[in-house]
This record gives sequence, C-alpha cells and structure tokens, in this order.
Amino acid sequence: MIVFVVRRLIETVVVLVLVSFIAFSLLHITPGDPALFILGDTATPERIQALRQELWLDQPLYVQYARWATNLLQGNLGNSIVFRESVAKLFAVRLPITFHLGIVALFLSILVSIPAGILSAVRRGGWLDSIINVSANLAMAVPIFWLGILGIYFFALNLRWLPVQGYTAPTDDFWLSTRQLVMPAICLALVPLASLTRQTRSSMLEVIRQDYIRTARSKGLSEWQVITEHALKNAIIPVVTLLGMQLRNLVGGAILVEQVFNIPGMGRLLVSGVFGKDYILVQGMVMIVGVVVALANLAVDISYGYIDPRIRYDE
Amino acid sequence: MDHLLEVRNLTTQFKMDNATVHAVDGVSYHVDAGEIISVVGESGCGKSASQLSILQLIPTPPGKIVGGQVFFDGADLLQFKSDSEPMRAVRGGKIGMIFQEPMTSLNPVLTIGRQIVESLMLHLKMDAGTARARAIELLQVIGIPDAEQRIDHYPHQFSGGMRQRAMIAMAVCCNPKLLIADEATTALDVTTQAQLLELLREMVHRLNMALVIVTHNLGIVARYAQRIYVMYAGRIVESGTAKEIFGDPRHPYTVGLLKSVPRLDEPKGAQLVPIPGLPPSLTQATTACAFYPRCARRVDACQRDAFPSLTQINGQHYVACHLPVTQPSVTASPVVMPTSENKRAVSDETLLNVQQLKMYFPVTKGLLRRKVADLKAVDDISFAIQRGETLGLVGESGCGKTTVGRCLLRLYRPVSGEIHFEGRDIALLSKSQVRSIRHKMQLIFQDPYSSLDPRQSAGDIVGEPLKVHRLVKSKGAYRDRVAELFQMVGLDPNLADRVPHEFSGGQRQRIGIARALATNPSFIVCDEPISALDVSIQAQIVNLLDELQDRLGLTYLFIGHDLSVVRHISDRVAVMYLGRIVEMTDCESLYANPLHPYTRALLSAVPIPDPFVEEKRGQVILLKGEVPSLLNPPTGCNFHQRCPIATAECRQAVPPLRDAGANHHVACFHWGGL
Amino acid sequence: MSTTIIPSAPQTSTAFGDLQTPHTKSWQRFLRVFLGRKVVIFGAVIIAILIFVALTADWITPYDPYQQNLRESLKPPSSAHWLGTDALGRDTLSRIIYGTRTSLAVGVNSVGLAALIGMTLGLLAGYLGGWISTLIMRCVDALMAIPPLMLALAIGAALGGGLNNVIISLGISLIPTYVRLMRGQVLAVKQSDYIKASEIIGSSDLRTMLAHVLPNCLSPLIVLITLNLGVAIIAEAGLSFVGLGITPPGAAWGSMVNDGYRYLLSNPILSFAPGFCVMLVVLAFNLVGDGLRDALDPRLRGTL
Repeated sequence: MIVFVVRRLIETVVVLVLVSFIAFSLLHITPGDPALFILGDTATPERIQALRQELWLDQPLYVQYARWATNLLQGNLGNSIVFRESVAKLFAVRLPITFHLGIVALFLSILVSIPAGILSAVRRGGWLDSIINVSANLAMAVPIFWLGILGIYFFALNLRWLPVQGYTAPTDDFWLSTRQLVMPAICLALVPLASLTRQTRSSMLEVIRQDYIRTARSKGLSEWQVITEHALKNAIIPVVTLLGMQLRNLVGGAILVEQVFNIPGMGRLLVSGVFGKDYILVQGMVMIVGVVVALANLAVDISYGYIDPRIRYDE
Repeated sequence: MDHLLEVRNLTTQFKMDNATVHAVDGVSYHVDAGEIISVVGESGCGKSASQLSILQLIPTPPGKIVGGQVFFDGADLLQFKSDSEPMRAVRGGKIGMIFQEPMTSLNPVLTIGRQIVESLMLHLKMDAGTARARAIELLQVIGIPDAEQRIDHYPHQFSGGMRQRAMIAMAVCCNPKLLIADEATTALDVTTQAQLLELLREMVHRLNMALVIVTHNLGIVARYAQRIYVMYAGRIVESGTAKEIFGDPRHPYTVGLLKSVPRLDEPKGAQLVPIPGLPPSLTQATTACAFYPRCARRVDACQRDAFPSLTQINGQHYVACHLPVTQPSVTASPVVMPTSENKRAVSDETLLNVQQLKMYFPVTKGLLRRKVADLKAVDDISFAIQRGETLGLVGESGCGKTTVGRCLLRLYRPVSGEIHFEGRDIALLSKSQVRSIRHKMQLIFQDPYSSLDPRQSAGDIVGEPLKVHRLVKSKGAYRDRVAELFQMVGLDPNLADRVPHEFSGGQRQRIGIARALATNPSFIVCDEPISALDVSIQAQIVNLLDELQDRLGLTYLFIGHDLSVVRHISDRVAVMYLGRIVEMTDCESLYANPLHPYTRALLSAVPIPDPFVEEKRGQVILLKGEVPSLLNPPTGCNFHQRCPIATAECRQAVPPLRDAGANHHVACFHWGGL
Repeated sequence: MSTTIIPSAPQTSTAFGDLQTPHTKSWQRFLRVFLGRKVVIFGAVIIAILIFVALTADWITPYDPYQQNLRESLKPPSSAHWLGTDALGRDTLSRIIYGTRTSLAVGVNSVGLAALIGMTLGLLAGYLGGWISTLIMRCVDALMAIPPLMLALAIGAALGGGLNNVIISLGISLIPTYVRLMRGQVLAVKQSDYIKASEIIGSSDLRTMLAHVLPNCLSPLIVLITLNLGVAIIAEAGLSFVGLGITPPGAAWGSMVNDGYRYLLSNPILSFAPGFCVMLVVLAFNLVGDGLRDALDPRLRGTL
C-alpha cells in the first residue's frame, strides 16, 4: 500500500511537470511575436519592449521556462496583463466563490445520484427506472448555459421565486447567498449527477449478478441487507473513479454557469483573461486547476485502498 | 410426509431475448434426512437451476418458477415469497448451499470472518463476540490453520481450496438439515477435491445432515452418492441407488454417459463411445423425448408420443424411456479392444529430446520493481518423445505443465536447457528462426472460446497458416486444402464462412484442431484440449485426436489435470509437481505400480465412476495441507512437507529422476522402501 | 488403421453430428438489438434529419441567414418568420438551419481528429509498452488534468476563434479518452488465446497486430466516437456561447443563445430555440451511441 501511494505520488509530480509544459507552451503557440500578439498593433514599441522584458521573451526558451517554473514554485504566478495585479491575488478573491459553487454542486450530485442509481438498478425495468433513465439522458444532453437561461426566464423573471443573477458571500447575507446559488448549483450539478447516476446504476446491476450476491442471498439475508452490506461497497468502486473525473466537468461547467449567472468566480476571470489575451492569467489558471485535478485524482486512488482490500494488500 | 425434502413437478423457465428457456421441466425428487444423493448431468441440463429454484435463488427476471411444490419440513416453500421471513429462515438456516466458483462466490471486500459471523447472528441470534468465537472454532474444524488470524483475512488472501473450506463453514455454521453442494469441487484440483469431499462427508455424518451433490463428475457420484438422479434437458431421465444406476443403467443417455468417460482402471486400449450430437437448446417446449435426436435406440414412437414418464424398474430404480435398455448385463464400462491389435506404431526415432529445461520468471517488488527472486515454474526437467508417441503431462494447477508446453513451442525462451526437435536444438533460437520452424509444431488450446478470433470466419482461421507459410499455390488449392482440413476434423466444409460464435464448444475445438493441422506439423502440444467441454463432447474430441494421430502419424504432448483422460490418450505419462517431474512411466504401470508418494495420492484421489470398484478401493490417501507457493518452495524434495514417508534426507537434497527398471522413472529417495 | 474404430459406432467422432446450431449472423443480432428499441430509432431519425438539413441548407432556408434588415428586427414568430427575427432582423429559423452545418462540421472534424491521433497513440502505447507507453500515458494524464472546455478556451485564446481553431482545440481536448480506451483494448486483446494462436502459426508481429489485434479493439471505439459527437457539439455550443467559438456573423447555436439572452424578457424564443436544437442533437447522438453499445457489445455497459 505504501509503495502504491509513493508510486502514485511520483506519477502525480510527473503529470504536474507536464501540465506546466502545456501551460508554458500556450504563450508560444501564438502566431508571431507573443508580445505583439498580446498588446495588438496599436501598442507603442516601449510598451512592447517592457512586456518582452517582463516575460523574458529575449531569453532562450529553456531559460524562460526555468524562470517561469521557479516563480511558480515560489507561488508567484506573475502579474495579470488585463487587471494589472498579481495573478495570485486575483485567484485569492475568485477561488473561494467558485469553490463555494462547486462544492455545493458536487454534494448535490453525490447525494442525488447514488440513491437514484441504486434505486434504478434495484427496480430495474420498472417505471421508476424508466424515469431516472430518461432524466439522466436528458441531463447529459442539455446545454447547461441554456438551462440556466431557461431557469432565469421561468423562476426569476416570470415566477419571481429566485433572484436573477449575481453572487453574495454566505458570510454577508446567508439567505440571499443561498437563494442566488440555487439555480447555478443545480445547473452545475446536472452533468456529474447524470453520469454518476448512470455509473451507479450499471455497476450496481453488474454487482447484483455476481456469484457472491447469490451467496449472500443463500444465507437468508434480506434484500435490503444484501444491497447495503454486500453490493454497495463493491458497486461504489467504479463510481469513486468517475467522481474523480467529475472535477473536470465541474470546472468546465463553472465557466459557463458563472457566465450565465454573472458570478465573479474563476470561470468569468478566465473568460476575461482569454478575451484580454492575458496569457499570464490563463497560464496561472491552467496550472492551478491542473494541480487541483491531479491532487483529487491522487486522493481518489488512495481512497481505493480503503474501499478495496485487494489493492490495500497488494505488494 | 417422511422425506426431509420433497420436490414435486418443479418447473422453472428463463425468458431470454425472444425465447423461453425451459431450464427445469417438471422435476420431482426427494431427499431423506442424513442421506447423500446426487443430481448428475451435463452443463445446461437444469441440475443447478433446480437446486437454486427450491431456495428461490434464481435471478428473477429473467428466471421464473412456473410451477411445482417444494415440501421441506412439512411446508411448501414455494408458497412463500422469495424475500419473505419464512423463506429466509430456511435459506442459510435450514438449508445451506455451497457454490461452484470459490474465486467469485465470496464477497471480495468483506473479511471471511464477517461473512461467517453474519449468518450466525442472523439465524442463531448470537451476539458479535459469541459469533466470532464460534466462527474461529468452525474454521479450525474445517481445517484452516491459524484460524484466529485468518478470520480477519479477505478472500483474495486465501487459496482456492481454502476459500471453498470457508464457503463450507458458512454453509454449515447454522446446523442446517440439508446441504446442497452445487459443483462445489469442480474448479479445484483433484487432491484438494478429495480433501474437501471427505470433509463434507464427515461433516454430514457428524451433524446428521442430508447432502445433495450436484455434479457432472460420474466418479464423485459413484464414490459418495447413495441415490442418484440423472438429468437431461431439464428433466430427470433415470433415478435409483448408485448400484442400480451404475450396475444396470436403463436409459440410453445414462448408458451413453457411462461409456463416454475414460476410467482410471480401464485396461489400455479401451475405446470411448461418444454420444453423437449436442444437447438441445431448451428454447422449445418439447413434448416428446428430448434425447431422441442423439439416441441410438430411437424408434418413431419416441418422437411421436409424449415425454415418457418415470416408470419403476424395480426397487428405487425408475427410468423415463419408452424402450429402456433391457439387458441388465449390458456392460457400462468402455468397450475394450484387444491390446495387441491396438498398439500404435511408435518408432524408435526420438522426435523431441528435452534436457535440463529451466524456465524462471522474475519476481519484482517495491518501488523500483527490482527483481527479488525467481519463480521457478519449470525447474530442471528432462524427457524425450518418440515419433508417433503420445506423452501425457499431468499435474495440478500451477505445477508448470503449461509452461513446459509453451517452452517447447518457444512461446517462452527458457532460462537454460536444451530442446532438441528433429535433431536441432531450438531452445535458444531467435524469434525469426523460431518462425521458420513454427509450421512443424503446433498447439491445441484449452479454451475453444478465446482461442479463435471472433472476427474471422472459420475458413479463414483454418486457412491462415497456409497463407502465412505460403503453402498453397492458388486460390483453388487453398479452398481445397481448407475443405480437406474441415473434413479431417469432422466439420462440414460448407460452414467455412461462419464465425466462431455460431459454433458449439466442441465444433470450435475442431476448428482449432484443423488450424493446428493445416501446416502438416509433426508435433502437437495439446494443452488441456477437452477440459472446457462437456462429458459427452469430450469423448468425441478424444477419439478425433486418437484417430488423427493414427492417420497422420502425429506426435502429441498431451497436457492435462484429469488423470483418467491423460492416461486414456497417452502411451507414457509424466507426473509433475511444483515444476519438476516426479514420475514418468507407461500407462499400465502408472496405475498398477505407482512409485512416487505424490502419484499414489493423486491416483487415490481420482474417483472411478463405478460404485462396485470404489467400494473395494479403501481409504482415500489425503495429502496434508496445500501445495506450497512456487515463490517459496521447500528445500530438498518439493514434496517432503506433505509426504507420508519423508525423512531428513528429503529435506536436504533434491531426489533425481532415476530409472527404477523397465523404463519407469521416479524422483524419490525411498521408492524402493514403499 | 481401422482397428481403432469399432464397428458398432462407425466414424462417430467425425460424423457431422453436432450441427444443430441455428445459423444466426452476428449482424442480424446487431440489427435486432440496435433497432429493437424505439428511442434508438428516434435518435437515428434526428441524426438523419440533421444531416439532411445541413446538406440542403442552401435550398431549404426561407431567408438568407446573414441578411440584416433592421426594420424587421426582433419580430415575434409569425407566418413570415416562423421563429421570429433577431436584433439585426435576421431570420432565426434560417440561422438555426445554417447552425446545423457548424455543429456537424465541428462535431465530425474534431472527433475525427481526436480519434485518429488518440487511437494511433493508444495502439502504440498498448502494443509497444515500455517507456513509450509510460511517456504517452503521462502526457495523456497531464492533458486530462485540464478540463476540456478550459483547455479549448486556452488553446482558442492562443490561436483565436473561428471554425478551424475550434475544431483543433476541441480535437486536442478529446484525445485522452481515445488513447486510454485504445490502449486498454489492445492490452486486453493481446492477452487472448487467439493472439497466441496467431504467434504459434508463425504470423509476423505486424500481421498479428493488423489482422487480429486491431479489428478486435474497435467496437468500443465506434461507440465512443458516436457518444463524443454529442460531447463535441455541446462543447462547441459552450465555446460559442462564451464568445470564443464561431465568430459573427457565422451562425452557431451557442452564440445565438448568447445573442438572444439579452432579449430574454421580450423575445425568449431567440435563446430557447437554438438551445433546444443543441439538446435534441446531443440527445440523439447519446441515444444512438447507447444503442450501438448494447448492440455491439453489451458488456461495455457501464464502462462507456
């Protein structure tokens, strides 16, 4: 188990180094002089020269990378071109907002999907199964930005149940904050919810037809005991894998949801960065998300060891 | 109602894609308290489905119990719902069940102890502490060493035999009145099988339980069962005491079954008589006799009239046949040909000579995956095969027999040793050099399902070697040769455009054989070629291999775990244990005069499908413990820890394979003193 | 040698005895399962309509999708303009019809690109193994650590918007799944006995690879490609919605939703209609993909 964890740790470091290559190269796949590309044709030569200096563009590529990476390791993500402010500081303000939205959506999707998946599998072929299946199929197909607009139209503009847009920190006004978060969180939870439901259902169906479930039944356990004590722990293993992957969907979805609901989080920051050709910001964003996703996957893999004794006692 | 369990007219169906499978079709039988009975039949005959049905354990849907009654302890179990309180009290509490696959029948994420304790707490209302103490006690009784520690282990930390012991502990922990063993030992090695069956018999006697043994193995039936039900196509076709069934079989299917299995005690040269054809698919509700298409004694009435009901012959002997075999004297054992005429022409030319073959696999460990040890799969073995001869290589799983075959075919490059094939040492040839001799040596695989490319047509599979080695000049010649090969293995050449999944297991194995024959090889390794097939199909393939050898002058290395089959087909047999050959001799003397203590135990563990013989055989020699791990083999003689006659010498030195006279080789220091 | 054959059972082992299996072709089963479910047919019909509309857009649109007419701006649905007009007076229905081209072009090309590169890399990683496999897989892990939409945005930022750049950036972000699936398939198939059989009969490695390994790896990849068409289309809509996809005046459903968002209170149909089209098309590809999976290989259920 320790060997397994150490090996995964090394892999994660390697992956992060490669992510940094990707982030670094973003600036260099632009056609022509990056500084000129960023600032546009109207910029003065002095301004361009200053930016070239700031980005070490005169140095050889490997020196550029080395300097950039060294700064990165010290927590210095550079200064945003658009906001003229340290990228780290920008993140410090925006990250909690997206985190708030993401964590609510994540819990929402886990809390709904796992019971729904189990129910769907246990009642296979019944009307409940059909409803859950159809809903999951629709949820996978609906563009969440469009669903958000639909929600705003009906629940905010027409029915006036919920506020239209915006974000308030829960520490400022908890009730308003929660009301504002309802629609964005549901929209963001939708895709993970649907795929986790489908995965829970199919792995549950897979487990239910295993020999050891028949053994459990042959002991006289009730159907409830068979499901909760024997099937669930086995069925949850692939669901946990998928859970690790859902972080990607949440980050991607947050970009759209923040756009629709006008939430000043990381997603909107990224969009402004992209439009402002603010490579420093985009690089920093790619790095920070890469780290979070890679660590989440590491956590998932390690958690396997606790769920699945076959991994725990390997080697 | 005197019977412990009485099943009347049980009918179970499975709804598949757009067909209904009549898995159990009006089955009636009974079990008395303390009795051992057996339900015997080939795969798909409904023997397991009927057992699962009485406990309502069949998957619903697609399965459904359509009708019948199951009286147990005076109540009809089928009146209860599957998940109801009284049904669950019977399940595990009054009727225990042991399943076939020890690898998949235990929950991988729960400890062994937890899986026993939960039954005790459920049915005997024990508290956790008492239940745990009882579980440890049970594991000790069942023969698991260090039970106090092992109780907290997970199934994957147990060997197959140990898992099945744990499974038995689970099934008997609540003192049920009836125990059902559904192919419980099929997946295990023969010596482990013997250990477990003896254990089961002892448990049943001690606790006064009744036992139902569900199996396809006629030997087990003959050795253990008092009464027997023979099933075919979802129905019971014959029932009676063991001696009635084996001594006086009346149903043509029973007779056919008995004639199609090789026996360990048969004289050399016996010929198997296979049952032609395949078991029916059971998707159509048959009203007439289902055995009609395969029956040697059929008459028109069999097809016209309704399914014959079980009628009493005498005593407890019942048979369901319009024209039961009438001569009670008809011999059940295979037809014996005069040995002198039957001797194959084995030439004096040595085709294959293996000297000091060693095949080690590296064992890696730790972060850097450094090599820490060698897994000695094949450890210094030598043997020779004459042209036209069959050498049988027999041993239990993990003994290295398959690795030997793969080394000979140079799928592996041995660590050291010589393999002289047709006079040339091929042990260390390069990959491309090996490719140039591939056409001379071929392999027949064990699994007819995974050894054929599912996307190729049967014709392409058989013809591919011809293309690879450019053995045919034209398209016409190619087609002719493929057709010839199809005919050679008994397949209709018109089936060449079909893909593998359209064939039955036996037919697929024939395709595999045709592929192996395509290049006219002189030597074929048969790696357990029939162990995945049903009993009645096994005989067809065994006979085909025999016939092809005679016709084409082939030389076989026949690898197997079933001693009866290996002995039947081979001229000489080599017995392997943990990477070494322990004994090698001709078939006759192997059975008549085994010299190595392991061979003796192995022979004794194999049951013979004849209760009269079994009665006289006496006590089974049970080996102590389990086969040691190849990662940590014992010093000296591999077998010394389990050997009844081991001495200090055996612990220190490896006994060489020595000639004990008359070409009988044995690797034991004490063979003379036995 | 006739002595081994006993007279009472002549040639038993070579008799054409066991030939009772019905001759069911694999494609018959495929069609039965595939077309057996109504939702799959529904999906297939939607896709057929989509392709038809995309191909015949030039003839079936009532108006020029790019023609601005400020006097006709923001008209509600009428018999002249079934879905009304946008702020620049362009016919919404015509723009939706042209949007099918964008969706289909992005879907097919980006998935094609990803599948081609991803499957090649997966094949190499699976077949060669060793450090090449490690290298490829770590790169894939790195690519997977960046969410697809974010990666596409970042690449789009460097390359700029427009159809081709959207295709490239989405294509890159879709590569990892193909590499992983292909490698897994190759590793699994390589273990089969029939690959060993191919070695035994003396086939060269290349022949084994192309004739036996590759064809047996493809079923799940076909399913993945179908499902990914939906994924690419919804991602393109997202990119266009944010403003980094298809640039105006090009017609793309995502940017139409965004354009209409401003007039949500007065003309909700401007947003609703194109978004509904995205959902319908993605749903169709998902349904057909699921159907293909069940028909090609039911064991894949749950893994794809």
